[in-house]
Amino acid sequence: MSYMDDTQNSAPGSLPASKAATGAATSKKVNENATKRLQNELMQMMTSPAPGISAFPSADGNLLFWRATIEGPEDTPYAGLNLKLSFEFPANYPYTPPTVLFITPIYHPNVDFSGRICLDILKDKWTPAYNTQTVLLSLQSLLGEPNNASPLNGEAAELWDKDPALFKTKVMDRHKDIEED
Amino acid sequence: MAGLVVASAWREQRRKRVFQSVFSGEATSTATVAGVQYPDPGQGLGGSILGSAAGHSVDPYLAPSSSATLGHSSPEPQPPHPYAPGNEYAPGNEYAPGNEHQRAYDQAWEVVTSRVALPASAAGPAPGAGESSPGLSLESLTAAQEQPQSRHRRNQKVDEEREQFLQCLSLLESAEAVLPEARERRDVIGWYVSQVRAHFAMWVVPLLAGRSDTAAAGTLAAQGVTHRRHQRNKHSVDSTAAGGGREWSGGSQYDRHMAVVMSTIETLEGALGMYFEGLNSLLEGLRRASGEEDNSSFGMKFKRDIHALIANSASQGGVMGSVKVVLTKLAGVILGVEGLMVSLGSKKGPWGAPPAIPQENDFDVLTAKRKLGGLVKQLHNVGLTGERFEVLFAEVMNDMMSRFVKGAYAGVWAASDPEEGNVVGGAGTAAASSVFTTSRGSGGDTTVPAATSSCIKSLKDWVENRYAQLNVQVLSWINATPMSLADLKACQSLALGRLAALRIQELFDIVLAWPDAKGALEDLKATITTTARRQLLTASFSKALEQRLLHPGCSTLEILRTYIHIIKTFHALDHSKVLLGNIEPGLQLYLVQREDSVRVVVAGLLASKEEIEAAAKVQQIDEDERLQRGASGPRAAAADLGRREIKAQAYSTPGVAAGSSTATTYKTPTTRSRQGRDSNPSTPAPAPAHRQGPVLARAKKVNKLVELAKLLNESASDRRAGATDDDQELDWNDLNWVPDPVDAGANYKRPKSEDVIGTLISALGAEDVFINEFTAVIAERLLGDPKSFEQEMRVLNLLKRRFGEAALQKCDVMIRDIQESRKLNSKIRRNNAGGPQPSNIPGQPPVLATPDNKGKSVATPQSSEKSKEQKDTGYHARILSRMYWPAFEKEHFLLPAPILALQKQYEKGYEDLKSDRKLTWLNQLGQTRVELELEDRTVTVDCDTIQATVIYAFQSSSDSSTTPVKKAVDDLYLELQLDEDLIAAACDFWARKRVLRKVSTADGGVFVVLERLSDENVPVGEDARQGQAVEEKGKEKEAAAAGPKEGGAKKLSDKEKEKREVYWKYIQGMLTNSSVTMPINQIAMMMGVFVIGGFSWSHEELQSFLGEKVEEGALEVVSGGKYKLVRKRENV
Repeated sequence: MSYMDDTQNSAPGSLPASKAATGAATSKKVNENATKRLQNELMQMMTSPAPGISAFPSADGNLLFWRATIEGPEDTPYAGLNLKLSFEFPANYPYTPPTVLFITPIYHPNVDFSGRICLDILKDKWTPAYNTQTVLLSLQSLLGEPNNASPLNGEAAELWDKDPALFKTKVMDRHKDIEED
Repeated sequence: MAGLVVASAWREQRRKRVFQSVFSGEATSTATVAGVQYPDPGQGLGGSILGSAAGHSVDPYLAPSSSATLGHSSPEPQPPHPYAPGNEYAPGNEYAPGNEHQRAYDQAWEVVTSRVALPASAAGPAPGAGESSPGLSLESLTAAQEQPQSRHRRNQKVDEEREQFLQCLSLLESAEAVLPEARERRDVIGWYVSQVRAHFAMWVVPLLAGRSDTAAAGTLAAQGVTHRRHQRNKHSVDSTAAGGGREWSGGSQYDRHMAVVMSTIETLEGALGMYFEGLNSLLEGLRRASGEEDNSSFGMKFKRDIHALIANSASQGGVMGSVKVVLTKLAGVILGVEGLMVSLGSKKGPWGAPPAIPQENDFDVLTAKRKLGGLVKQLHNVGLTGERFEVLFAEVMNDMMSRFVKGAYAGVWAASDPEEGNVVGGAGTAAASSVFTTSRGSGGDTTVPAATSSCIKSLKDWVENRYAQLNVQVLSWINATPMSLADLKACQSLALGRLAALRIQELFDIVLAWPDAKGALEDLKATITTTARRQLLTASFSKALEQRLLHPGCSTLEILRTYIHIIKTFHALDHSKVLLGNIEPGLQLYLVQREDSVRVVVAGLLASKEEIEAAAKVQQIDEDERLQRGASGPRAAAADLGRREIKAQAYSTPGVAAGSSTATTYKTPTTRSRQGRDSNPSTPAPAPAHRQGPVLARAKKVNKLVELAKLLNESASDRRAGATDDDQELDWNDLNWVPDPVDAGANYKRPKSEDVIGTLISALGAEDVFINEFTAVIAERLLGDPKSFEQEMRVLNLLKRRFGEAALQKCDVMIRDIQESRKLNSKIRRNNAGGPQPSNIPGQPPVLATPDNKGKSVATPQSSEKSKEQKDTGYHARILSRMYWPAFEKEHFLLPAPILALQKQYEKGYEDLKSDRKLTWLNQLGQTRVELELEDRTVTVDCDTIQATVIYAFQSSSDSSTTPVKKAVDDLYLELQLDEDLIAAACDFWARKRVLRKVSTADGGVFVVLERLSDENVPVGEDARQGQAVEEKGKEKEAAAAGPKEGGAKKLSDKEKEKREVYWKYIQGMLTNSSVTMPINQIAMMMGVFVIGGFSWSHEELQSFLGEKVEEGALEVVSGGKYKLVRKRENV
């Protein structure tokens, strides 16, 4: 586990309590690659962050499970909203895409009511060249430009074009800040 | 003693004395007689036999005075001789009239008992007197002892008296037949036995107790007083003993105890003689009466009983303690543990002689042996050699073994070379040394196996020829089970165990002394054969490490150097590395905490050949000095030992660095390397050490871990030689194969070599940390010394083998950059001369360049003309591929105009050569050769670009230079736009070179060009305070020395700032996404997990950082000390 190696060099006493938590990895080699890659992605996001998006591994120190936040872009119905997502990375990441879900309830043509997202780069169009940041940026743009051709939420897709005002109210109705963790 | 309860009220209760109460505490061991009760001599049948002794019994030894008072206050008049026949005896008044048989029997009883009755020795005074004045009671006892003899003589004369006794005895024996009417019959022998016991308890025991009490008191009093008088009275021991304890206060402890033992023996002998005489006369009479010969067995039984009695009573008191002291002393002399210093009094040195194997025919040994033999036999005769003696003897011998091993082999670590053994063995006096050699010679005829060290051999020899011999002798004297061969082997292995324990204790010092202590290692190797010992070794060594090495008083360099020794030592000790693996974790954990450990290792790896040679030379000098010192005195080894101790002290006392020069020098490398790293990398490299004489070379030696470089070179050749090592496990022809050690782990794999470097690097934590550090050092060196990187290349190649090509790719690129730059330099120069020749060499997009003005190009303050031919004289740049080099901060300052022109020209040439490339100049990283033409001299200095720029600013503006140029730091700041600290540092640099002179501290310091050296002390212009300024010079130098460090600190803080920003992003991301609120522990944990390269902050640093953020309003603390991001209002 690469990050375990790294923690040996940090100040003594700050060793992770959940060191053993990731010991159950089935394929060590693959897992190591994934964590290394994710660590680098994290570093990159921290050093050159993109506006409006942020992500971080979950609080238990598991690098394969992240939480992300997208600020709703201006000029979209989601402006001013904080949308939370969860990323679950497979052990052979980046060769298979992460599973991304909206945790915050969202009213959007391409997102169903349990948060599942219909986005091609998370399915068949995934390549290892994508990373967490690009996925988040894609999602951010998806908020402003939904793909109404293949909606998961048909009503939303219809309203998007027909009645933006109603769409906005639906969005605001559906939205609920999840503070409690 | 407490078990002995004597009936209280000695006098008034005497008639009722019951012997059972006397020995109530010993019922088990003296069961043969204890249960039977006998009346006192002449006591009437109707008398109350069983007195209520228990109620009145007082321990007479614990409370003698109380019993004495009781005695005095007794109203009943007491006869002086309680055992006198007929005493208090009222014949007939209780018998039924006509029972003549009974009367006759009683009369016969009276006759017999009065004849063999034991004298009440020391009859006159109270029993307590025996304790207060042992000498007196001794005399009284001897008197008492003579009493029966005289009586015997008298009896011989008075035949009829004897005849009467015999008749009465036979009457008593045959009472059944002759006096059938006498119903009350008693056993004469049984009565006598109880008599003896009573006598012993009443008179002998107090006497013995008094003696040992006195000895104990004497011991206390004599402590610290009588050391010098040691042995003066040794040969007069017997007389001392005979004369009582009068000389005790003046004699040595041994003498005193000897006296106690001897007098005890005498007392007991006297008492025993007395007892046996009575018994014998009884037995003789009985024999005659019965006509049988079979009662000798009873004599034996009696003897055994009485011996048991003696042994029991003696063991209670201090007699056995005294015996132990005496035994220890004598055995010590015989076994050579005491050393020969006592007998060789005049030659006695300050240390005395270490224990050594004594020669067979040594006079003292023979005397001691004889004395011991006599003593043991005597003790045996009086019955003091019971089980307790055997235990005592075993204790003494055990102690002897420990002392011998400790004394004879502590610090004797020489290799098993026989010649060397002589020298080391003779660490003490010449006599001891010769003894050592001869003993070796006697046993050394057989071929010694290579693995057996001299210590082991001599120890085995000692056990066999001295130790076991003494054992056998003593055991035969006391008729105990003799020693078998198996016992001997057990003894030997016991002794080897002691040796192992000793070596384990010394192991840390052995490690420090590597490779001089190979002999000790062989001892250890041969003796740590059990898992328990191996565990003891690792445990004790780990502890020693913690106490003596792993504390802030030791520099990282010293720890690492010791670590190398540890690796080597343990490899010699245990090829399997299991032991090393067991002690390593603590050390590694500590090393990881040391920030500079990686740097020290890398610097050591990259040490140049010159440095290695210099270090070797220093070592040679040290060695020579030691040899010289060794030749000057016979106690070379001892002195060396002392030195080692001092060194060890330096290790163990972190606070007292002042006392030891070593400790202070250890600290320097830390600051040095830090300085080198943080300040400009092109600080002029120190000249090779071997030119600077031994003193400087020594300092140099301390500064670098050159051992590593040496090892690296060696291992390179080794590895080539042993390339086919891989199938070592399958080498069926390997006759030295040994199975894996028992304490090896499950996944244990036999390592091939000691592999110091590998072990060291793996100890420093993760690979990438090491590689990053290595890259940084390499970068520094590549920018610093332009000529050759052979050493770097070699180290790089070796490291590649260890870590793989990919890991060290950066270094490859860096080296290639430098090489390419050289080619490029010549090309650009050619192109600048001729026409542009664009070529398309693939490279890395953005490049940095460091100007490298080699040559006689730059600023000369005197000559204002700058020759134009400079352009081909040497403006070189190094093109660095930005991605692969460590991040360098750009330091802004204005270059001198001519240099700037050259730079522009070069840049143009480069851009012609490689289109789409842009150069970013890192001006502060260059080197410059400066030639200064002053009025009376020319100075040529290699310095860095900042220094060159500063001195250029002092260039005279016109030819008419009547007054030297004078500038203030503040002015220079405006002129050069360079950091003031750096300007000041550069000025001080030139001041040290005696080119500039500081004349004032105003405006950050005013400097003037020192045109003539003779001007140095002349006041400049109207400045009257010049004299002071010169005096201040010394101080300024110190300030200058501090200068670069400040610059470094400043740069560091830039880096730190960057780090803080990144960390803040992490924390923000964490608190946005992972969890809205987090306690500091979790934040620290998450940072530790997710930050690449490790989270370098301590808990406290993180806390203060978070505290700052709270103050800034970016964070808030919510319940439970958790941190939370403050929400931006507009987002909600």
